[in-house]
Amino acid sequence: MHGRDIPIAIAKALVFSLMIFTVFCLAGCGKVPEEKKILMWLVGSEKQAQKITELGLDFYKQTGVKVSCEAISWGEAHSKYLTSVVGEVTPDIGTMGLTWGTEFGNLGAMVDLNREFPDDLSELTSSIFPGLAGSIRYNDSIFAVPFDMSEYIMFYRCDIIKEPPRTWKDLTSLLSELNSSGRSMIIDWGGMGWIGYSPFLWQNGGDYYDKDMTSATLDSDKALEAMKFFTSLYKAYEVPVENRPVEQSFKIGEYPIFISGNWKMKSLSDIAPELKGKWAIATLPAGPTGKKTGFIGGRVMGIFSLSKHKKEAWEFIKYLSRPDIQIKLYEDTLESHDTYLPPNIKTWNLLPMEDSFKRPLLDQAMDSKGPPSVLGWDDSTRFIDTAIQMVVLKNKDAGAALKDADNELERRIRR
Amino acid sequence: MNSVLKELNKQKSAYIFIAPSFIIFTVFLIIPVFASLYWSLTEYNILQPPKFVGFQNYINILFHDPRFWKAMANTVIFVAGTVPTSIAISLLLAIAIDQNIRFKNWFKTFFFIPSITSIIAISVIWKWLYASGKYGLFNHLLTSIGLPSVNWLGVTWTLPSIILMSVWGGLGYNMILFLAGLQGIPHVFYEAAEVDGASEWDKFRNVTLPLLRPTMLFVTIMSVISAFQVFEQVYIMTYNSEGAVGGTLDCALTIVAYLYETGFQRFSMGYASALAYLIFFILFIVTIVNMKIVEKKVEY
Repeated sequence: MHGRDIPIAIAKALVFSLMIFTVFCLAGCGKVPEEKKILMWLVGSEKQAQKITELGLDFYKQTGVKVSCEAISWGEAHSKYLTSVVGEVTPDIGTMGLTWGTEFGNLGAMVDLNREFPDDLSELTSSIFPGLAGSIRYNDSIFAVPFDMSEYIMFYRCDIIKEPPRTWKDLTSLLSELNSSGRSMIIDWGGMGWIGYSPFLWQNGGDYYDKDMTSATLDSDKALEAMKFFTSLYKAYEVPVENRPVEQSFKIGEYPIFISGNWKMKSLSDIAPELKGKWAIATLPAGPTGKKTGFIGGRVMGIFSLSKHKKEAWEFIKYLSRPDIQIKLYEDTLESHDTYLPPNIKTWNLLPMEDSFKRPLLDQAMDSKGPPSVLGWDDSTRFIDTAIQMVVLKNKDAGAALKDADNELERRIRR
Repeated sequence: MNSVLKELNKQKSAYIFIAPSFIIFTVFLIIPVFASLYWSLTEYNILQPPKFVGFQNYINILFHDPRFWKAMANTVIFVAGTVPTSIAISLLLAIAIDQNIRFKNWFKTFFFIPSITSIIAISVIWKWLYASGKYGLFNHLLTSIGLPSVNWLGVTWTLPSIILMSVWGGLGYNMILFLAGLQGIPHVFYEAAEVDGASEWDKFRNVTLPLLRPTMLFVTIMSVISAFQVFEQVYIMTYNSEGAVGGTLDCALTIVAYLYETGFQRFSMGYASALAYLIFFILFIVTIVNMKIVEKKVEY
């Protein structure tokens, strides 16, 4: 053997052993008896994914179907789902952003639950908060059901503010009073954007689209009034246009009232434990229509069309929607400093939460709405943000700004 | 021809050794480069097969897309804000450390620390420093000496704030490069200059600067390219609860941030590919101009 041939011999040996190894592996896999296995992707924390895998063990005992849950991060989730659809390597169950079910469902990537499991589904959705139920229905299809939810709620310091504002009028007079001592309110979740504007729009009886979701209605008088009121909070009542550290400013009392998501309950008790008992939550101030509609969001879960175990996957989704399991999930998220709420109204009776918190949260959730179920909505929100920011920062006329946004919404609606 | 083939056949085992990097290079660089060149001429959303549209994407970007020009303007401001400042300060630091001072290595390490820290981590920390009202450290310092607080991450200040942070973060790396360049200048030149009665400033102007030219060229080109591609800082500093990047009214939307939005949030892959090729083209021109300006052939 020449010296030069030695590397070739090594390489050959490597290649052959690799081939033999592969063959053995393939043969080995073939021998294992077919076991039903569901793969679930969870947008969110590793910890919660582990908890769901643990719950899956219990499910396995009952049904003989194995469940494993993997976490994917919010940042890459959308593109990961999309590429998995293209590459035909989707999981069986996916949890995702509220509007994605409709989006992927319309691409044919997800099972229409309303067609596949109509009886089970109507039972399941009947106990879902109406605002969420509206956001998952697209025409007659439902591609995903709520996994959990987050809602808008108002936080206030009860040692500074005696009575939370009940109406828009209450709100502005409270703000004038706070302003006189250099204080104000923060709109935290979605401030200066469409999420912040939505409750005011709905409370004034307006909406983004008409009933059939065929035409944008941001050019209506109701939308205009709501826009004027919402932007006046920034322009006339010193609501800060940029992010403020909510917990700290709440603590020192510069902003003794703020609107945000329910998760701030947890972060307030973590960051400012000394404030315990000095703050409370309340439903949003009602608009001229008397409605106190808030914004509601959350994750949904659905089944991908390529799944080989659709029935088993649906059983697991039903399992995760059971009140006792939802309570478990809720308690687990509290441990990891999240506060996702159960989307199932029946669960709320069992929810281990102080009544002074539970009541306003439940009350608000009953009068809340999610993002409109319109294809192209995610592409449109940017224009609503721009409209709001132009009015507040560049003094653009509210009517003209809304008209521009309305045109953009209209253009994207039929795509 | 035959001899070439013979030559190629001679060292067969060599192919096995270059195969890994060759395959990785081809799969992850060469193929994507040409694929995206093709996609830049199509309308492509990942799900449906690409539809050929010719130069329509390029025309739309250049003539019908105000956000592209806004992003372009922001990027140019960012490059102009970071590159000269960073080069001037890091050169100054390098010269200072090159003197016979105490704690030399300590200073080197001190200024280099930001360079070994992830820019994501730096941005997260600086976002706290920049907090508005009376909450961030910077505003606390400003207000404690009687100055008004600045809305660092508001419409006007976001881009300058990111520039300030990026200059700070990039100092150490350039400083080390300049330090290496300075140490490569033979002492005889300085001695000769001193014999001729040159002042410190003369020595800097006529000896140090010209002999640092290769380092200067390298530092300038690399800084311009990396400043042009700024993304992480912008992403961390400006993303909001809805996932939008670029800040209020696109006040800090840079070209790569815009590319990210088009490609990975809106999935207009054709449009994003065209954007990527425009960025490549611009960087190509800038680099050529750079080399022409800095690299004058001088013999010593």
